[in-house]
Amino acid sequence: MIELITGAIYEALFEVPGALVRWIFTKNKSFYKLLKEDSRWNVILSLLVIFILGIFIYNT
Amino acid sequence: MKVERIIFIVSIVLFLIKLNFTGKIINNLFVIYFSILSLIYLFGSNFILRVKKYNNIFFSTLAGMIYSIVLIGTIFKLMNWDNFSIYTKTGSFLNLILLLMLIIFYYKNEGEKKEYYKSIIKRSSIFMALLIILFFYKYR
Repeated sequence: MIELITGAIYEALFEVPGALVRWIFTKNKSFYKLLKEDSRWNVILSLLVIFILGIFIYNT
Repeated sequence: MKVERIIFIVSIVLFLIKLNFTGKIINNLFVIYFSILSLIYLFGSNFILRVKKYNNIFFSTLAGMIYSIVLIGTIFKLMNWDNFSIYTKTGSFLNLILLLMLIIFYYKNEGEKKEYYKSIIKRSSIFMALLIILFFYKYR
């Protein structure tokens, strides 16, 4: 149970933003597949997304 | 992971230098290396801490978050920035709870799982020693 909760938090914070970026720039691939394949790129891209959004929100 | 190990060793050396000396170059390097290490632990803990194929997502994410709090606390205390006590207190408290939990799980499990818990205990104990040194540190 506790693994399910932390897994959901981990996916929402560190994988979904990066997978969304990859989903915009790729064709003919489902969102579910992008979440499962090459998950380290999801983490790196979500780091960038959180940084940019954080700076943007802080300045406004 | 190789990158984590290199940055970890360099940042520990910088920590030991920063305890005794202060200067522009040392301060910059210290802040940059520690913040990079805290980011690596926050985002990549699930890749760094896994042993072969075994990974417990609860302990990995929890450990990564706690280590990032501890590392930011060390930056704030050694640079004498404001409100460092929040980070050091919460970091040391959570790290102690994590260590106790991990020691219980270490003696209950066997094989690949035991190696996994051992790898986290190593890092946690190093950070605990770092926090104990910080407790006796006074900014001059």
